[in-house]
Parts: sequence; structure tokens; C-alpha cells
Amino acid sequence: MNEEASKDAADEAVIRRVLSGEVDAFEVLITRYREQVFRIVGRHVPKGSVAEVAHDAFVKAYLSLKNYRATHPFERWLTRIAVRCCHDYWREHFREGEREGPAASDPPAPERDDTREMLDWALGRLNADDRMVLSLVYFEEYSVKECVRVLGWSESKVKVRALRARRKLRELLAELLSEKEV
Amino acid sequence: MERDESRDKLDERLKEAWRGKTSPSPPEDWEEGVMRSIRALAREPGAVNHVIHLHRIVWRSAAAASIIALIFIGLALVVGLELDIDLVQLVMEDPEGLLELLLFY
Repeated sequence: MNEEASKDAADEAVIRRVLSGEVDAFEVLITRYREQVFRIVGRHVPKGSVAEVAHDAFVKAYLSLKNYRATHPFERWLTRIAVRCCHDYWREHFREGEREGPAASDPPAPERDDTREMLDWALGRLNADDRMVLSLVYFEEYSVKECVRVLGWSESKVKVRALRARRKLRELLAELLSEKEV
Repeated sequence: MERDESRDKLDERLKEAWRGKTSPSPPEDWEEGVMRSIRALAREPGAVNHVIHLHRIVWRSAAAASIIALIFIGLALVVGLELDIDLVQLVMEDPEGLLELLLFY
């Protein structure tokens, strides 16, 4: 039995214990996957909210544990839940109407030589759906099929939204770069 | 051509920036906090199985819903057939009048 298979078998054994009423056994799964969930969530939400979103991801995983089917590794199933929680986070924290123009609370436009700040600034101007599909398809390099499973959208919606979101991101960055050149 | 190149370079820089994002480590008491929430949920009767229960209700009521639907279809076939014939007759006899009736009254 290879390492992956034995890890999956160990996860399944823990899941069976939790489902039979041994709630404390869930802590084994948290310890095993907390770093990974923090890594995933940390790429999608602001640093100050990572712990809260990761907390939600594990609670949601516990609540839907009965729906978990061992046909896929638990790790992948948990990753999907974590990504969905990030999507929910942005749906809650981004209101389209507020983004018509720059708000007083908006951070100032970043310097053009700091790519990470530029990226965060531009992503902050995209709505939750655009932001998530763009992050998953172009930055995390998820396949369209995987994106369909994570976001629960149709294949054509994933493709179209990803393309549009990428165009929006480019427009925002082009605007920022031309402003800085003036 | 030059524009495409600079766009590709920017894409690459963005991807690098994304990959370079660092995540904070879980705070010391974080795991305990998650387990507290989970234990609290486990104490609530049926909290874990909300979704399962909803599924059960849907499946259990499926048979009753099907029977009701069949009764309605039966009624529609018996009662509604005559209405369809009436409508066809109206269209055949006075199509313009029917259109006027639908549009203006």
C-alpha cells in the first residue's frame, strides 16, 4: 500500500469514528490538515481573516461529514470546502454597489513596482465570483472541470466568467499603470 | 507584438506574486476554538444531520407528491380537454376576434 492510500485509509478510519459519535476524533483531522487549509485560505482572503475562514471550513466539513464519499481523498474534499468558504467570504465582504468609484476607505493605489500590492488592489475591485474564478483558473491553475466542482457552476459559465474576469483584471492594471506613468 | 510580450510578462509577474503569498500559521489556541464550536454543534440534537433530514423529508414526500400530480393530470385530462376544444373552435372561427379579445380586454 503506498503512502497516499494509507493516508486515505487513516482518514476514513477517523471519519468513521467521528460519525459513530466520537466527536473528539475530528481533532485528528484538524491537526492533519490545518496547515494545508491555512495555506489555501491564506492565498484567497486577507491575512487578518484567515483563521476565521479556516475555522468555518473545518466546521462546515464536520457538518457535512455524512455526505463525504470515500471515492475521492478527504484532502481534496476538504480543499473544496475551504475554497468555497473563501468564495463565501468575498460574497459577504464585497458589495457591487460600493465599487462604482473609489471609496474613501479604499487603500491608495499601490506603487507600480510592487506586483503583489498591485494584484491585491486589482483583485479587491473584482466581485466575489470574478475574483474566485480568476484565482482558481489563472493563479491556482485548476482545470475547468475542477472549477465546476468547486464553484458549482456550469462549464460554460466557468469559461466565460474566467475570460471576462481576466479581461477586467488587465483593464484595471492597465489603468493603474497608465495613471502612474502620468 | 510588443504589447503581447509586455502582457505576458505582467501575467508572469502576477502569477509569481500569487505564488509568493504567505499564510499565517494557525494561532496557538485556534484548534481548540474549532473543537469547541464542533462540540457545541454535536450537543445540539440533530444539528449535524440537518441536510440529511431535509433529504429524507424530500424523498419521503416524493411518493405523495407523485400521487397528487397524477390525480391533477387525470383531472386535467378529463376536465381540461373540453376547454382546449373550445379554444381551438374560437381560433378557427374568429382568429382576429380572439386576438383582439386577448390584447384589449
